[in-house]
Amino acid sequence: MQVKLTEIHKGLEQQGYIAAREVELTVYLALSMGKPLLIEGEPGVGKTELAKVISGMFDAPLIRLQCYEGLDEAKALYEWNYQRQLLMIEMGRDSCSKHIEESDLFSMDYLLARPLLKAIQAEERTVLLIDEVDKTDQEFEAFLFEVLSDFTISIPEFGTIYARQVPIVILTSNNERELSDGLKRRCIYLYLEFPDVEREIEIIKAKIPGVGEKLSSQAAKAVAYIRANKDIQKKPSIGETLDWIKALMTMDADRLETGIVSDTLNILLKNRRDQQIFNEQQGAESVVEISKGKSNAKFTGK
Amino acid sequence: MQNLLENNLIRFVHLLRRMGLNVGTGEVIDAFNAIELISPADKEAFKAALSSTLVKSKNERAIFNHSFNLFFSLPQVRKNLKKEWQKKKQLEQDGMERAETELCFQGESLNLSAEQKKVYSYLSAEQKQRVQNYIKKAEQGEKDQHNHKSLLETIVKSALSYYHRQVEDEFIHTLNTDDEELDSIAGAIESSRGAGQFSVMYEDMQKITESGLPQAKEVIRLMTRSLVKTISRRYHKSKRKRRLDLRRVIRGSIGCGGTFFKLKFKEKRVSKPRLLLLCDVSGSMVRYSEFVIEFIYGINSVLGRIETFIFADNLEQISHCFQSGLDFNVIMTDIINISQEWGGGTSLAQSLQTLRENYGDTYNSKTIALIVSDTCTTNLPQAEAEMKKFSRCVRDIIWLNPMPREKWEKAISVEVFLRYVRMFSCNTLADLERVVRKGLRL
Repeated sequence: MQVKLTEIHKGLEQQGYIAAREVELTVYLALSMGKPLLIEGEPGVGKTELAKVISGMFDAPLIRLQCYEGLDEAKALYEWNYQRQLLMIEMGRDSCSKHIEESDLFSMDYLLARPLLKAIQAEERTVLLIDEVDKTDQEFEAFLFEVLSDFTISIPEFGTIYARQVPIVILTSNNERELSDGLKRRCIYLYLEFPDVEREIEIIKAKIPGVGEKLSSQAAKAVAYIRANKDIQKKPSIGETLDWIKALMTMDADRLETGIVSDTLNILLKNRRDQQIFNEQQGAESVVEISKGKSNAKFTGK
Repeated sequence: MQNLLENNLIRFVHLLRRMGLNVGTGEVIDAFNAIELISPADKEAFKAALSSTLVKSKNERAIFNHSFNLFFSLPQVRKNLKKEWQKKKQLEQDGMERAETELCFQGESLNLSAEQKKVYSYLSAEQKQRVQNYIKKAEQGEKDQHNHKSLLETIVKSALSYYHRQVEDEFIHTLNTDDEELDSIAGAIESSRGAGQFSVMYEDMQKITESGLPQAKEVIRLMTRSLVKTISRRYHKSKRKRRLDLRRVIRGSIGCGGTFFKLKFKEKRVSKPRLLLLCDVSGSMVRYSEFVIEFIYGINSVLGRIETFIFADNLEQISHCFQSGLDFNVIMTDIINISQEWGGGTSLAQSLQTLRENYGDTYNSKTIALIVSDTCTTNLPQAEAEMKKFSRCVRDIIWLNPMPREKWEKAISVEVFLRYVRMFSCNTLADLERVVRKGLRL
């Protein structure tokens, strides 16, 4: 696919996705080399959002395959609508109905196309998002190799179906398990980290028009401080940060105070254990001090 | 210019491989293709092009970043690194030559390995003097030279082994290639590993220094936490379709007039594996065994029963020590203090025999045995016979071998044991996590 780096930069900006230069470069390389893009990172860093943004940039429909444990070919590729086939057979038993041939039952009318087949059959270029691929197992990964390498699918009753337009493939992973070397080797790799304070402030200002300078700056510092605690399992995502700021604005807060941080903690930390750890090791007061720059202390552990 | 770039890229890939990254030829080709799409003069773009094609995980990024910053630094920086490395190497060489002359018993040099001489060369003047004084005292004693010399060598080797951990931080590391510049960069990277500049995931567990231990323990804690979270979901009902359950399908179709509207499937019940852990705690294996035990107990909530044994000259059961609920470090300290096997020699034959005769009730045909050892043992034929008997009594034997894979071909013991076990190379924490997950099919 012919793209320019400047187009990627402009496109991401227009879509409101504020990214580091490394992200722009990696997306550019993946698109230019025609290889799938594998994005890894903690939950909430913006992996799925990047795929949606790329889809928006190129005006390509987004076809999403949400992976889960137990996902198999039938749910990812295609499945015969056997209930409908059985009904047709039952109807065919009636001597007044027309005679049904086997080939009638194995036609496109009875084929339920799942995301991978939809992406391959699409007339226009699509963005195929295989989300949270680390939730599947290795058998499914092996099956993906076949599809992603040639973009063809073999259906015994039909033959081989070739992709009309090779889709832009994006895989995301929360790194809950190590993906196989075979899958990684076929992809261009991007590790997305949580943004630093400056970038997070930019994101907040872009996504929440009208947010105060002080509030955005303090909130970004507060969240960075909370994320620095390694004992917290589920770190606040970018989305949760934005929700938190919106909640603070709803409460007419233009800066962080101890009381309001304690009251709204559940928006950032959605896990009881994480909240307990936060209260024991950090606390709302230290968060406010850090956010106001009164303390230079970085969280280094209990 | 293009040739220079290609040549440098190949050398850089070589460096990454030596640092533990698994870079395949396909990825190297991708890297070359990626570089053609950007301007090599743009360092940020160049780094992104290499990073996106050669690096495939979060842990590898830290090693890559450090390697990239050193390898593609200014020529003067690399020149200085090389000079420094050459100076250190020369000093080390001189030190080892002095060890030859200083460690003599009645005019004959003690029979020490290159590694042991290296340790001696890094000792402080006071420590060296202590060793030399001991040798001098020994010279004044026994006249039976041969027996006393071997005894003295054993004592000196033990002392050097004791000092090893204290001084290994200062060792210069080398790739042993013909490329001195590459060696000097690798040396600089290895030196900074101990300073905690990046994760210890890819560092040989044996080489993790005292200063790197807290980081290693933190890595194990995070690894086991992530593994437990993933594995515990596997014991829930899965929607995965396996074999058709025809009986249930037919029974279900009765209500629909015999038409198979709903298909039912069945799958084998996943049960937690029962584990028997056999850890070699002879001299060189101690560090590996400690990490493996800590890792296995970190994931004990997703394993069935775990029976743990340590062995060197003989076997000792330590499973009961982990039931006290105390902190893991406290338990391990107690074990080390009480154990008679810790740091001894290795007799796998005797150990397996003791296991069979005294602890036969701790394993059965459903047990998976996990052995941590470098296969170096006395009485290999007897060890093979015992291993053969043992392999018939358990479901599977997974052997974690810290010996580098390239040495396996030359090791007869490896060839012997491979007939009965599944052996995996395991000398880093990353290897450990991968092998345990795959080996136990977690």
